[in-house]
Amino acid sequence: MLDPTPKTAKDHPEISGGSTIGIKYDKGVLLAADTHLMYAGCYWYKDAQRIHKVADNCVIASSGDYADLQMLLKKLKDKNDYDIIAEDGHQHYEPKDYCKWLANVHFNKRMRVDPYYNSHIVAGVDSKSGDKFLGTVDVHGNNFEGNYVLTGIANYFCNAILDGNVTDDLTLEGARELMTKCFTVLYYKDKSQGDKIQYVTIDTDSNVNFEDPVTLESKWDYHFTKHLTNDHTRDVRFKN
Amino acid sequence: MSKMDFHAKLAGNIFKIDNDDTEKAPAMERGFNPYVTNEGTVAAVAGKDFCKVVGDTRCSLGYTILSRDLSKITKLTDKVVVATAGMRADAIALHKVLLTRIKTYKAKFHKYPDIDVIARMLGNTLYGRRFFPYYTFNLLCGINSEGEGAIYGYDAVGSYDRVNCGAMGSGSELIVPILDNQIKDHNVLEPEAPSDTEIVENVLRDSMHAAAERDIYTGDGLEMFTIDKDGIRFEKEPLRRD
Repeated sequence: MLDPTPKTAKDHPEISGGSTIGIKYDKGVLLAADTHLMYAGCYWYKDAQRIHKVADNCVIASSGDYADLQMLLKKLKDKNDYDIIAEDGHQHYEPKDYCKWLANVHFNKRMRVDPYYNSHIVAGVDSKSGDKFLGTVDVHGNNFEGNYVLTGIANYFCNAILDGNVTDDLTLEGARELMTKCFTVLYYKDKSQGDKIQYVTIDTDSNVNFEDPVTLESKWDYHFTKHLTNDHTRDVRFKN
Repeated sequence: MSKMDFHAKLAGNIFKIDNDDTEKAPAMERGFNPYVTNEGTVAAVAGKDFCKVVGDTRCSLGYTILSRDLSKITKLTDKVVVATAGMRADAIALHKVLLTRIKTYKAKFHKYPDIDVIARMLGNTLYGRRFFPYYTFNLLCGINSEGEGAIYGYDAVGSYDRVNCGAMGSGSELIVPILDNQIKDHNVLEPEAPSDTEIVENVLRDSMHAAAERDIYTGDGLEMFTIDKDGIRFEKEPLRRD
């Protein structure tokens, strides 16, 4: 007998990560993400890795549902393994192809109205031409490239910081400075943002460097964080 | 029971069932919405022996700009381009389908399809997704087998018509009146397609600048494609970026 209940799909992410940012600098690409995963409003895991290496010359950083990301990473690994086993002269994917491939997978799933709830940043270096690549894929399968790309709420906070400052002759130090600024702003304004940030660089010689997470510096003892506006006018209050 | 009564009862039942359904329906639709709109504007004018197409390069999501440099116009053959406003992910998929089907046509018939052939094919492709439409608004532009400029305008589900000028997307409401006034010869006994490329180019450029002035989803960059007997030419210039 047919199951009378309608097919249901997950309609929101469960355990999910926040914003990720990617910036092109003169000799490569810099990616960063925090290490927190949230379950609703709660920090569920505090040292998860959200940037993953998918090939020798390609890295993806993902925000959104972590289970969906693990599924996609499994698919990517299977794909790579079969390509290697086949040994048929097949050309392995370049970062640009991984970006398109992910976009196709996302578009396919959204057509089934059962999407993978992720936005990815795909970064890498073309193994033949040595060109830098930095692209993004969203939940609907929209994908595009840019000198800097953002996922999640960083789209609202960090465009203004990066637009115009990401130039062709930006150095790694400059890029890192901009990145730190972006994540500091996010840490102050976005409740889902953690302060442990992991940086990953890919340079034009295809060296992928995963750095250990660093803790952002932040200052909270401003006057306005300790005293309410018009505090003295309130006659009933608790004193500490 | 008279025939009349039977019908009345049947109708009553039908309405009752309908009412039951509406009562059981949830107050608010939850879950994943497969559609977003990335907006943007495209416009085109067909001349006597040429066709000019413009599009902006902004891709937005709500009040956020996702990208300032994303083309809306894809070259299909040496004589035809398609310009698409609406949802980017759908547009990318649609353009891919069109290119594949044109490649298949070329393999079968050893020639590229004319614009009227592609026009019908695009209409059918869109209607093939009648019940889960591509959220795209297309202008198919080029020159036909007689060398005249030709434009086909579409809605999202594939009804289409040949026009001599058109605009699609979020700025279309601002551009259509300009084109109506400057290009479409309303109240003229024998309308004539424009033959001066410079006039057409200026009208299109001014229209896009006008749209970028008032429409928040239009701006950043202006792409202009010119299609004539020599092939397709492509220029790019800045639009306002705020």
